Amino acid sequence: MAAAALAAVLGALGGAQGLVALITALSNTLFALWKLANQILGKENIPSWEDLMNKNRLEAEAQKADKNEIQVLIDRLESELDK
Amino acid sequence: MRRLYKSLAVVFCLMFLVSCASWEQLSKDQQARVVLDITQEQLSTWREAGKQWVLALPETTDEEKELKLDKAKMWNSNVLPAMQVANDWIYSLMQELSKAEGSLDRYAVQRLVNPYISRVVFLLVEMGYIPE
Repeated sequence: MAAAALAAVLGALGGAQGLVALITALSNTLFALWKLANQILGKENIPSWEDLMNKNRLEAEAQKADKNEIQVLIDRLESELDK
Repeated sequence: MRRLYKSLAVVFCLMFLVSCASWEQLSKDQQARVVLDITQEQLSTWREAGKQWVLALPETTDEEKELKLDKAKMWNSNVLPAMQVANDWIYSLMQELSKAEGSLDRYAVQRLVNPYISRVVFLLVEMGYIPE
């Protein structure tokens, strides 16, 4: 739900690009709800604590990688604007 | 198209009703893992959607480049640090909950939550949402 709200804000701010983010986040949210229901109903395995901590570690690595990726974008835009 | 939306809404409502009935059948440990799994996935979804939005902003004119630069800086200095705080907090919760078999007493919850609330408030002050 929160992802959908964030995506709505992005959608309002970013036009067509925001709309793509909106649709992606909305579909991911629906998928998460579907997964939640399946886990509760026992149709899908509930991840172990080890699986969850592994996911958390991967998320931390992805956050660092994203920060570097955006920093490259910042450096490039700054140098282009300085010219 | 409307019929499709209505059908989807009905399916999800039914799934939720059945899920709610089954929720109590799960142990505290399983409930905690289900909630944390979904929270972790939603955090990844936020991050990915936000990053894609920043990367996709147009950069044809200087004005567009300046706007994109502004958003990219905001993303790296404010949004991502807040998400890192959230991820650290989820990790702490996982550690504590795994030891406590899914159920924590109120003092353990307070001990876990307080430092993160302080960090989130600090970030909000830095971002200008709360005056110093």
